[in-house]
Amino acid sequence: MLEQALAGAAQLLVWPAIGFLFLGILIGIVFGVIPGLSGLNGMAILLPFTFTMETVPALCFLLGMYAVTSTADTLSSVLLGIPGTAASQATVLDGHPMAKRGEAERAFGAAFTVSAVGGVIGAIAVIVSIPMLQPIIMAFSSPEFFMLGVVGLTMVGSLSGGSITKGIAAAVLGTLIACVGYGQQVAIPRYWFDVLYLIDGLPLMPVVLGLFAIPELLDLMKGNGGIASVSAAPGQGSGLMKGVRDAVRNWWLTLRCSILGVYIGMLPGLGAGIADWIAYGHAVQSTRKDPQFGNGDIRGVIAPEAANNAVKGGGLVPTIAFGIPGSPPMALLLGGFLIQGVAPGPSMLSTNLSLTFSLIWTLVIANVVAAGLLFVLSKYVARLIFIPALLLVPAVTVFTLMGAWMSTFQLGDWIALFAAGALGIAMKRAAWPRPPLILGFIIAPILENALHISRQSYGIAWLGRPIVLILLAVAVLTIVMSVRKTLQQKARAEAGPQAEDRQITPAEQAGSARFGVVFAVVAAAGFAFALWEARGWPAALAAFPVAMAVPGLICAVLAGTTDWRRRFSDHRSDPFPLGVLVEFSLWLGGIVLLTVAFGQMIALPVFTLAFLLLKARAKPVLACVYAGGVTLLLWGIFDQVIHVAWYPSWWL
Amino acid sequence: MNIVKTLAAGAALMVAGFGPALAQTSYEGEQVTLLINYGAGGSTDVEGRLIANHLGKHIPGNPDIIVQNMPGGGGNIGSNYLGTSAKADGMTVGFFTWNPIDQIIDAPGLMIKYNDFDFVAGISQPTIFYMRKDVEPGVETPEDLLKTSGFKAGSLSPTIHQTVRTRLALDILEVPFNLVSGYKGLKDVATAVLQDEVQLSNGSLTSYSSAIIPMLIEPGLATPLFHFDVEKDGAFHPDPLLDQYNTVTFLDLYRAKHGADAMPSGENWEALRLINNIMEAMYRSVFMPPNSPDDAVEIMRAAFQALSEDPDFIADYAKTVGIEPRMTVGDTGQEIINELGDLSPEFVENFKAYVNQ
Repeated sequence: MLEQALAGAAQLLVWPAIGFLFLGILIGIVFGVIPGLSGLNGMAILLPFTFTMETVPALCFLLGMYAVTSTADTLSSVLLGIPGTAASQATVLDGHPMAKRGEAERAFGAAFTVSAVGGVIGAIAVIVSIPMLQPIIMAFSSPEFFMLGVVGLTMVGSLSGGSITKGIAAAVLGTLIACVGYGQQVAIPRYWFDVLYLIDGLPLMPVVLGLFAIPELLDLMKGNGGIASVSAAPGQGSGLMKGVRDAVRNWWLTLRCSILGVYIGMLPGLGAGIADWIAYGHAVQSTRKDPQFGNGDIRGVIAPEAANNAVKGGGLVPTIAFGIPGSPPMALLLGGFLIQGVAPGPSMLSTNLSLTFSLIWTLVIANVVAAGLLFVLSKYVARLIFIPALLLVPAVTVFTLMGAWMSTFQLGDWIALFAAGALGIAMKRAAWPRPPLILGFIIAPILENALHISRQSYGIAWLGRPIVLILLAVAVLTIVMSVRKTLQQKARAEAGPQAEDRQITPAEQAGSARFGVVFAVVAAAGFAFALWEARGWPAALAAFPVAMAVPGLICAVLAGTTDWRRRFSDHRSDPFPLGVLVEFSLWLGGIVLLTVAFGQMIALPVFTLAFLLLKARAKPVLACVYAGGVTLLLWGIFDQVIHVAWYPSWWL
Repeated sequence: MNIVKTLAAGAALMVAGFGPALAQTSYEGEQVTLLINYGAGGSTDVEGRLIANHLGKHIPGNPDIIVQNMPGGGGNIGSNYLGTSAKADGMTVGFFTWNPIDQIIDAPGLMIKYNDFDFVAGISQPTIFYMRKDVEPGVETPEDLLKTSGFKAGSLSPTIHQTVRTRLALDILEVPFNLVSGYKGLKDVATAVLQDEVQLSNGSLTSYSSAIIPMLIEPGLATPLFHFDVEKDGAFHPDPLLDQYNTVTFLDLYRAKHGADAMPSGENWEALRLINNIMEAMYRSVFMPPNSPDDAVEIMRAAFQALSEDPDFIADYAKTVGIEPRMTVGDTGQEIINELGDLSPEFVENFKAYVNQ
């Protein structure tokens, strides 16, 4: 074994393998940093280049690139509040508030450290887990997957901060939005209103970017200083090291979340986009000491960042042991294997063991090197938070729009983005938590599919399977614990009025009880509509949305009633003044019109220039250089490398 | 006057002499877009990018071939785009994995008819059925399938050809089974077979060789059953691509049950035959937008003909997909696909009822 491990290292550490590994790492960092680009795009683009390469350099090139995107994606999640890839959605929740507090560097220090640790643990897990893989896969059939999804959703209880009813209703809303389009079972599209864009369901990125990035963008539009509300970081210069110390202090959480990530990665179909939420939920739930989640708690950064790198080692396990790729990037890597004439399977532990070790070393080296490079890089990038906010608006807008556009290259992606943005703003104002919605959206197809297959395959007997019962117990326990937590908080809040301030989540800070009532009414109407639409569908199609909409309706009514009682105790100022909203909409509308006329390659640079000159009042030289940079990004990366399908404008 | 004549003659010469040459080299410095109707990472994408890598050198002027993914709607978004929005100027070519059943049953969301496209080439991809050995009374050989008295067959969504062909085949063989549909990919079904959640399924040869053999066949959990016969000039043959896998054909099994010369008949068989023929010739297909210029279609067909004989491409394809590419180019394929437009209303009605039951 040791001999093979050394042989694997020897194959990797010679030229050109090591060169390709480093090249892969650099490319991976670029793909991670730019929102909308991910390891998946990277794999698809790099794969053809490996046709003519030797086995070890080819596979390590691909894997090295893929391994580090979830390290690099932290940059935009923390700085801009836009998830760099779907793997770091949860990082936004506490990472971005830290940036606002001027502690971006601290968040980076912790995130990169635990990313490296998580990645290395993922690598170790590959070799440890392959022999155990068969029993794990055997243990998780459709019924277990369903229950795992239920456990994931009950994490919602702990994610939802103050109000459990709002949390559940938001999660339900997410699952219903996920029901749009063709279901897995019957080829009848649901809730699609004869709009072709909707027939395949809404893609993830426009929804995520709409819910999280658009409200942040609106915040920037107000133009109060920079992202950070302070003028300099507290204890400038030591931020990164402080983050490292945070990571070391929370070694036990890092370890737990890494292992969680590994096992989520091993289960086909559950990827990094889910692992980060589950790890975050786990951190929220297991933290006893002074939780500040949602307000910039470093543990809210550590948990998802450890998990989303570990997930990749986990995902490698079924890919190389069985040829079952758990995710699309792994399917591409499998393609890379086949191109090299390497058949995955048990031989990876015998005749090809040294290759397996080369891959493991790749994970180790890539994760450590990327963390190191990003350490250096982030010291400079982190200063972005002190730049005047208005100067950042064009870049963030371009990233957000392109990130959404990358989903299906249709105007529908932007409409979905804007609709999700409006929903996000409304939810923030109504103090409805957004994470449960997005988690519900991601998990719903898995839940529905697994439930459908379980019922077809096992009848009612699936409920009696031992792992199903254990997971059910975990779900129930999760709910009971979060109800108890809320009740305790309430009791404490009633005991002392001064305690109330501390208990307010950021969701509630932006919230208005009166608007909460309005939103609850609209949501309840939405749930009722979902039920009404489902009345004529075959049972296989209607079962899931009905099962979701009923508790949703109840929770929306309860949430509305609670807000109605508090309607006069509402003194907080509106974080989204109407004027800013209108102006923001006008700018976006302008971009859409220009795009329809001339395409994005012209619309986005023109917007950048116009916004900088007219709104940000930047110096013309700066505005021109900036717009040139945007053009270069669109042309150099999106057009030339990724071959984005631009909008077919009437003019070009 | 003379000058005018000379000029005219010169112009005529130019047109006559250099015109065709100009048309042939008109791809120089151009970009041909290969539109793929599934997302990056799937097997359609991998094959499409492989083709994009080799295609350019077979087109006069060696244009750049760039790949564009347009996923969604079970492939229908990309198909709709090629049929309704893409310019028919010869610069856009679709590489699709498609489902003829969507067109037959008039599925909502499919806005085009595949027989309206200009067909360029299709690539074959055989399907192999396999089954767990521990199904009562024990399945060691393909013929043992006929002795079983009930099991669960796993498949993808109900209207995809994989599901419909599974149902048709088992119904024609009169084997009792329950269908469990809704798996997301062939490898997910294979995992379900491993877990004994379902007992029978099938996979494309690519997934068979890359996942099903190492996961199920080599460990002795499952056994290969049959593949569909290839129809050529009215006669049926075993698929030559599958020589090395030693599986029997569907008709072998049918004859094991009904006698050496028996041939299935009836609506189910006609439907299975139609889908098999289409899938055999064009499991993945290269289309050009309706009414593309004739010379552009001819150039592209010639390019794919040359591609199918290009040893570098064949070697790359065989390494990636597991079999050598077998292509159907041009008119032969167009004729097969045109059958989709000529189905009798009665057949369509019965087929719809069958698929939706």
